[in-house]
Amino acid sequence: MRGASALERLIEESPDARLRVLVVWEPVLASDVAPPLNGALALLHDRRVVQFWDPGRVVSADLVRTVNEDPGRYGFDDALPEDFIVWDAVAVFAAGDRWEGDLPVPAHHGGPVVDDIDETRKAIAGTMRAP
Amino acid sequence: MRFRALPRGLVWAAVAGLVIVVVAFAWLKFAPRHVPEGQRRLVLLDEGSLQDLRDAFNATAGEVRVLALLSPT
Repeated sequence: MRGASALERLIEESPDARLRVLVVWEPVLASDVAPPLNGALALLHDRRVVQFWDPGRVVSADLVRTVNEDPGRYGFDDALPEDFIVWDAVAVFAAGDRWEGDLPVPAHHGGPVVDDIDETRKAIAGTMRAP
Repeated sequence: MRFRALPRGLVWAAVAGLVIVVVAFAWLKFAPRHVPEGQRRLVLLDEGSLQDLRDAFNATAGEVRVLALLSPT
């Protein structure tokens, strides 16, 4: 929840930026027994946000699969455990990147979101400036 | 062996408590979800619809994209 709030504040700092924020909610904690309540969904209220509910954590599994095919490409020294769950994580992608098969290499990735928000801000700014 | 009947009030209180828990859980699980105004509806993802996320990612390929994975609680 703190990550969602931090992300919303970050988006609001650049109301005119050509930015798209894809938020995938997934069950991780024991209390995650249902899709996000309206209150959670409302934390991210910017129009540039698209929200997803992923009860089977298929996105996390796909990201682990992708990283493990070539960990070095994504900045990892080793493969991730097969049961690793990607969550409370954020990644920034440059304009022009397309997701065909494997996820493109992000300009930045990190987490927990609330702790990584300054780095995420810098990555967004840097990616916006890139030609 | 002898059993002593529970006080009727206690039985009703237990039943009422159970009903409240069931209704609350059902509400939590099935109550309609609404994203803020102006956003696309909440998209349910599964093995067969992961492409929806890729499509959303690629639909705005001309923009910087941020992907975040979060827990709802």
